[in-house]
Amino acid sequence: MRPLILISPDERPSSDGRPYYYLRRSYGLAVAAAGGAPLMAADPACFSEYAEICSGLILSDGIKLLSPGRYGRTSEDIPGLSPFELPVSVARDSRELCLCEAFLRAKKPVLGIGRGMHVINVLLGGTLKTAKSDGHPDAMTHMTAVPGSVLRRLMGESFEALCCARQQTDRPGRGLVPSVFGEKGAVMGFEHEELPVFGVQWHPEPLAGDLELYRLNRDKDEARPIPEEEMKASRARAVTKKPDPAFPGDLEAAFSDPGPLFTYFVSLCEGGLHG
Amino acid sequence: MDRRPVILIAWGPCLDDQFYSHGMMLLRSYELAVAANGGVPLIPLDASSIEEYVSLADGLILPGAQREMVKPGVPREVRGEASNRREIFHEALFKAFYEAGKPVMGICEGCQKINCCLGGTLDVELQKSRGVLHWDSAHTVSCAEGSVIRALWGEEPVVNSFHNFAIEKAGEGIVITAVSPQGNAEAFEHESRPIFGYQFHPERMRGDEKLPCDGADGDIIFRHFISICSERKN
Repeated sequence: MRPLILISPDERPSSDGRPYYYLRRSYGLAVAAAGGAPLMAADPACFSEYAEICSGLILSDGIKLLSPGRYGRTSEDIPGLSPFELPVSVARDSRELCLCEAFLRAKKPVLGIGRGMHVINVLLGGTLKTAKSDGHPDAMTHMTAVPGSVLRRLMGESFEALCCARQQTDRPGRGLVPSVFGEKGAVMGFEHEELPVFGVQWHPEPLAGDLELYRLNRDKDEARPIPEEEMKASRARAVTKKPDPAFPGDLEAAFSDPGPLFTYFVSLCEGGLHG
Repeated sequence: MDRRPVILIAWGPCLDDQFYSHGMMLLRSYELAVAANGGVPLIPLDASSIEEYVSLADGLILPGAQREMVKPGVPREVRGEASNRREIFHEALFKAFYEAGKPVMGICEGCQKINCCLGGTLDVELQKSRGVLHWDSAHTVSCAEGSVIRALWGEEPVVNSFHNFAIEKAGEGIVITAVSPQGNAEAFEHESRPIFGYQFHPERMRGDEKLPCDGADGDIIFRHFISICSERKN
């Protein structure tokens, strides 16, 4: 059996204002390609069951900031915005801090990506600072990994990676050792000195297929009217809810390479690798 | 310690507004209803891990249609792929739980999906055929004697209504147990398996979302399903 890997999603309001959980598919696909069975976490009150059921936790990225109040600062840390305008997700902070603590207690592997990295840091007493980024998905950053670190072993001495952070590690939390740095010395990755816990500021999940989509679609604002024949065919299929043969239904082959970090993380969760 | 039953809730397709990438979403109302009634909700993500999901979980919920497309102008190819992924994944999940004999509950689109997986068909022009719009409205349903829904909710409960399609021909083993005043199927159970379908939204008939305000108690539907998952687990 493959190890069950829990992935913590983002939280958003839908167009009619009802809250929903959201996760980019590349997370699940990367975990599956690396040999894990991915599950998305849902209920904030089930963290102890989740930590019992699952072999590892991935904290996903997100657009909303981690609230400065969680690490002993105020909204003054984020210039230009009043406390009521802060793009924070307090509910997500609470949910993920509890979830992360449950996995740390169980000494199970945790990987934080982007915002998820900050959750680990803040839980262990670290602090954050704001970073300048327009969140543009074309922003590649040059990274350098510290000799002797796990991330260096996985990623090599230097590499380019996609990074659109709005917050950065300031003071690392207890036991966290920064092991990857960006061009201007920003902490881009850390690992725990004893526990199987890692945080990365870049996107290690395979985004190739998604970036392709992004480039295809970013300028398209107009909906193309659907021809009458296509509408008819679509209604006929709907009667038995059959998939449309015109679409493969999974263009997911583009995600078949999980990359070194996911591969390593899933094998940690299987208990096959240590350190 | 004896664990609470694990209930899988299937996702709906969604597009990201940052990367324009495909994603999975779940309206929190489903998760809240499962957790409030004694289940541990988890969302399965990957079609190649279905064996692991079936062995982990004590029950499956196929939820109503849910999607968030960030821009109205999302190309048809992108939308088409999103719905296809859902159809394929939900069907694979249902079949695996069906074969394992584990409980499944379908809500709205999920109820239609179960029906189609068992060889049934849908009326995709409900408004034309029944003359009434079943959207953002409320109505009574008439529950058959001896049925689960009648035991839970009585003879004529009020339910909400958010659907354009409805069950036409019932699938194999499916027994329609409640109908709307216009005569379309509103609930079913399976003649021999722990499979249940509801055309209305019980997850919006509880907690903060009491739609409609005179509707029956949605928690009862979830508690019934989760207790069945729990009994069969032990």
